[in-house]
Amino acid sequence: MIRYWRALFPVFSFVVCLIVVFSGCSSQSVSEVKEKPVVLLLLNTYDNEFFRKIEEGFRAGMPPEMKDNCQVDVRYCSKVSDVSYQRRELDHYFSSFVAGRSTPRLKGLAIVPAGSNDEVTLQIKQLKDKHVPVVIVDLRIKPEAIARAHTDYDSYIGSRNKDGGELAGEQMAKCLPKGGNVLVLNGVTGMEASIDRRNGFVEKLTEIGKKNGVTYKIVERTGNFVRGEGQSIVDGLISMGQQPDGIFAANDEMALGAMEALRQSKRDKKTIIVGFDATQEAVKAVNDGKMIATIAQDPIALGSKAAETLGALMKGQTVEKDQLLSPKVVNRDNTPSRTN
Amino acid sequence: MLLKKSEQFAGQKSMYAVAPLLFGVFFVLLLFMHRSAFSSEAFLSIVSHVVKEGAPFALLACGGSLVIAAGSIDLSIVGTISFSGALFAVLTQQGVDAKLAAILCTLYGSLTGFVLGWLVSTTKSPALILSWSIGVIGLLFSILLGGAGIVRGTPNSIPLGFIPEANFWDVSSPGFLLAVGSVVVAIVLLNWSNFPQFCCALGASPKGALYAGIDAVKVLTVSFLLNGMLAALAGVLWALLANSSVSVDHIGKELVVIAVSVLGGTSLSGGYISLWSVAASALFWSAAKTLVESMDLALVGGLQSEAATGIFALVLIAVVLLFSRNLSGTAGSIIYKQNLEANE
Repeated sequence: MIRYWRALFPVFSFVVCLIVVFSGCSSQSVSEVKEKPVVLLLLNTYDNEFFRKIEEGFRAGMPPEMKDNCQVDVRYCSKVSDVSYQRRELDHYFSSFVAGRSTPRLKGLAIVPAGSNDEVTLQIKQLKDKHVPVVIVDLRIKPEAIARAHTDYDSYIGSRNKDGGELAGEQMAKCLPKGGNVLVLNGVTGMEASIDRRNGFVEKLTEIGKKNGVTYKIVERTGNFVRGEGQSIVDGLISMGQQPDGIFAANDEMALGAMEALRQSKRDKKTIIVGFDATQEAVKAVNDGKMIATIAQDPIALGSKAAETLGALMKGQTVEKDQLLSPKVVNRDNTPSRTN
Repeated sequence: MLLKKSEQFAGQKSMYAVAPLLFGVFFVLLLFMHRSAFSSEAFLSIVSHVVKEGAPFALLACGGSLVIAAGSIDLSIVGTISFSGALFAVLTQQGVDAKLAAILCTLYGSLTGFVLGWLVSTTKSPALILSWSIGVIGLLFSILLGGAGIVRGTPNSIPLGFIPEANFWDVSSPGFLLAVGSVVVAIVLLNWSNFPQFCCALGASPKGALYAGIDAVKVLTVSFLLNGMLAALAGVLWALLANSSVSVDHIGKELVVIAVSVLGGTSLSGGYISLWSVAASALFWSAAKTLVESMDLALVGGLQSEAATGIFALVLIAVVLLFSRNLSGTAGSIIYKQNLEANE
């Protein structure tokens, strides 16, 4: 028995040291941390510039009283749509209400959900039952999923993804007036943003095609919003002699992957690419003429609006249930560097 | 009847015949499916794509197979791929020569593999947990490297410091030569060194290996070292092919690597390996994926993406069912046959 304890002692010491070192890293004093109420901003992956811009907008748009009196905890998933991470984080914050170990500090939640179905509805219900205001940002949770959990969120702030898809469809039709083969690189299957963007694009392109008497043959593949998968799919199609005339990617990461595949095969002049999100890299590609257009959602405005709404809710004010921002096209005529 | 004939054709004699046969069949199917079938253009473009997609997996599966054949497992490859790719991108951005950067990255991979192998073999710790943890740390460091602010790019995506261009035999893809060369050289050198046989001996019977004078600690440590080195090389290759290092994209690839190894005839319980067969298995994986993704699925409308994934899964189920006797690990092996003869 003593042998086991001897073996465990170094492990125990190591863990204690780690805790001491990491708790010493905090820049805030213990009393300060204990007293301040928390506003939680739960976002999707850090590697996507879009979500980092939401954080930027959120911090900039915080009302003064929220800025002074609240501590903002920002959490990012380690990978795209990491449902288990979001559940774990929400459960962790909720545990302070039930365990009674400390005064519940969570006073507001702004979340970009990892999925648009029932993924985090139970956690939202738990917090709503404790009167924590919840604001959904960017990705809407389906009404039927919310109804199934017998709860509701306070406000949804997002872009009209379908309108964005339609704008992309218009851009594509403008560049391919005689019709052609169009590849649609979809995002994560079942995610509302992915479905809306795809539907908006396909419906608009088909409608324009019918109106002008031309045919657009649409081929669809799933790239899961990942750059490498977009590149692999396009490279595979080119190698099989099926180079599309146009590519619509449901986000800029996949569009950039497709662009790289075309560049490597030296066929980038023959295919036009339209992306979505207007990340810095994509806007540069549009400016350089490598991409025709990208759809801008203005994540800073999304973040800022979320902070304002959460501030109002925390003060007990009523807010609009759905606040939708219109996306706009970023093409060579209006890229930021040119307009500047 | 058809099943029996296929089994006979696949070669009951060797479980290593399955992957090359499958690759051959799917490669010919790809040629048929190409718009300008059996032309030199079709041949070259398909070879280029299949090699580019399959070579990094071939490297990973060869390294992984060594560890599996020695009776262990290594899940740290995701971290090694991510970090070596990120390191390669950062070094090239700092003006370091690409060749030197690639060598430094493979050294990093070898070091990680050596440390992991040494820990596993000397402390007898569970390799599954230890390797997974080291992999996560590697992934974390690759994200930190990108987010440190010292380089261009984002935590996940770091562009290379140069634009890789290459023209070889009309195959205009950077990294093509490195892809082919690294796989062939790695397999030839490993087979020449006879090291895979040591791994097999250890995996098949640790006690027997001990009596034969094989140092289990050394063999296991070196197998992890080689796996780390090949994983780092695959990371560099992926960065070169994508013109940037994309860390988070590699999550989950370890499972594909294990599947490719098993299709290549590596026994999950240790003891059997053929590196050429494993490489052929990686190429089959790439060819089958390309074939499915290039199919015209417009009839199913908005469900094309799901249909393509489903068809790929069905292809794998068909392959596994058809060749189950050849891929069951010990079936078709020496011990299996000896047991069979003894029973008779």
